Amino acid sequence: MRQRLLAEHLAEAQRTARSGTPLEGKGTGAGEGSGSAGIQSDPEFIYYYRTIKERIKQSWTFYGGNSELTTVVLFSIDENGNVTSTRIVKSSHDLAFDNSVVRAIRSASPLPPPPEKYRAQFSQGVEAVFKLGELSSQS
Amino acid sequence: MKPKLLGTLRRRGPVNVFLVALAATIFSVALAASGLAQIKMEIVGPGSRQFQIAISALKDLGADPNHAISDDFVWVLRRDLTLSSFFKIISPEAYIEDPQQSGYKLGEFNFDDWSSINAEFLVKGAVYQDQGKLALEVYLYDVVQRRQALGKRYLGSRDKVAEMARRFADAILEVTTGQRGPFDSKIALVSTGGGRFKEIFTMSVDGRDIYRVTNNNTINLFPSFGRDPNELLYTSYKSGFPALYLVDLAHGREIEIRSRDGEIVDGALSPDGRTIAASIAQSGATNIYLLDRSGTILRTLTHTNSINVGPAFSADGQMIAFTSDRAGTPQIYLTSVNGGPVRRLTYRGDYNTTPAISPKGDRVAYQSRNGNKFDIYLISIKGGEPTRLTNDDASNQHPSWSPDGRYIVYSATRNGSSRLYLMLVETGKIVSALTEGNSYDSSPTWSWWLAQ
Repeated sequence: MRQRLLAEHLAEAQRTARSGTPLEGKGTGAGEGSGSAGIQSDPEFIYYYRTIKERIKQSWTFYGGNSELTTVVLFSIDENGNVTSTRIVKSSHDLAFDNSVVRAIRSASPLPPPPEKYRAQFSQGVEAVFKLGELSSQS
Repeated sequence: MKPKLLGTLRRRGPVNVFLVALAATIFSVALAASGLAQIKMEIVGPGSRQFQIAISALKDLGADPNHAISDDFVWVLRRDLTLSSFFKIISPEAYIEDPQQSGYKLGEFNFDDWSSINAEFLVKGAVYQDQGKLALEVYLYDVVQRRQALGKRYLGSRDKVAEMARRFADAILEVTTGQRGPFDSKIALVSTGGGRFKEIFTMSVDGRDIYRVTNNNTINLFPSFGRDPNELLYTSYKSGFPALYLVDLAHGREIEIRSRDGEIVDGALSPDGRTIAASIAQSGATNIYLLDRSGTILRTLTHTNSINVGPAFSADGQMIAFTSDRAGTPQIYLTSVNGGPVRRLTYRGDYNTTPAISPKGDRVAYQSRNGNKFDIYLISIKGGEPTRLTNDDASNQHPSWSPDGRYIVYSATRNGSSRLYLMLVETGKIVSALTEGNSYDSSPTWSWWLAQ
């Protein structure tokens, strides 16, 4: 079970890496240019990414609403692993659900310190999409 | 999504240079708005379905010297939050601060004392006298965000403390799960109370405030609530023949409703309390009729030579579910209170009875026979494949929905004794037994909220 979970996370991290959404080096000085697609296939990155994702998921508690609920939240991690800011970028319009998402990130703090070479990225912000999903699909 | 838009535009080539430039502007603005996040993740489904909550004793500010009021409030709140199955209550032995010494308002206590024992939520409050009345001022704190999530002040007499706790539990569920809890309500049931006769009782979901409605040493059946939890309809043989009785629980007054048209089998009170759907037997057939409160037939809802019984209203009062053997075996049917067409709902199983329509009107719970016992099933109001909710060694019967529609109460019979059980419908989790002891408890029906 545990292994399956980790395998899924790894697969997803790799999917994220391939889709490389924000990393087209579009002007605004995000910095990594084309090299940034490389960040997310670096095992050091993937390991950290997967760890904090699992930590946040485990600290997330919610019951209720409908399976469609989705909240997008932006949070930053400083060099010590402290979550320094959390901001809802897109609300689910269910206050209880939005709050559960913010609590999940805050209560996961402090997270492990980010790998040194990715400090800038993690302090600049992580955009996390929280989806309630179907009750039956969860273990 | 934004990059996709950009990509689409870009593929169109130089013709859309302007659009590309525009899109790029929008894109960078969007990036700025999201703080230039380079890293994205998606988390599907919370790691836990149970909030960790600490419930501190209430601080005595002169009205609760022996802490009996606090004990009462905390007991009911703990019980109700446990029954909700959305909360795990942290044992008081782990609590660091002394509730009688520390403050209960925001800023008057230390959140570290609670985050250090992993509480996500915290209940604190105080008991005092206010203009001759008992006042309970209670708060729910979000320990993680270090803020107040809820604050309530209840005024009343000593015997209302349990009710205050139930209302607070319902409010806690509303702010934490987005939906009001069902505990400020009551359940009516038929129970032998340890004796031989079936009498009607009401009780709170947490098993307190037990009230005996009938005491006539005959047979009393089928309690039914409308929207008003103080009015209960039931069927009784206490006058020597079956009749319906409408009792005002607040004042104990009761009216008898006889039928001049045949023998009453059972009845259900409409949500607005103005009408009754009753099954009446007449020359070999039993049909369902809409009656007024004096027993006069307003409308005939079924017209068959077979048996039609067990009417149950939808929450909006517009629909009635019932059981009929018109097709050879007992099955669930639906019709309108206006006497519209009858629609057959169940096709699986050869013995389906006791329908109950969910408060939202989207589903029907009922019992279906499996061998020599019954189980609870759920079916969409539109029909289709039913879902089996119980699957154990007991015979499970008479489902009734909580007012919020998240739970059902039903009776489970094993070895000749019968108890009420609470189930969380979405997960099919049997939360807890609600009654215990030697009595035979059956036919539960859940009221609407007490505070409307």
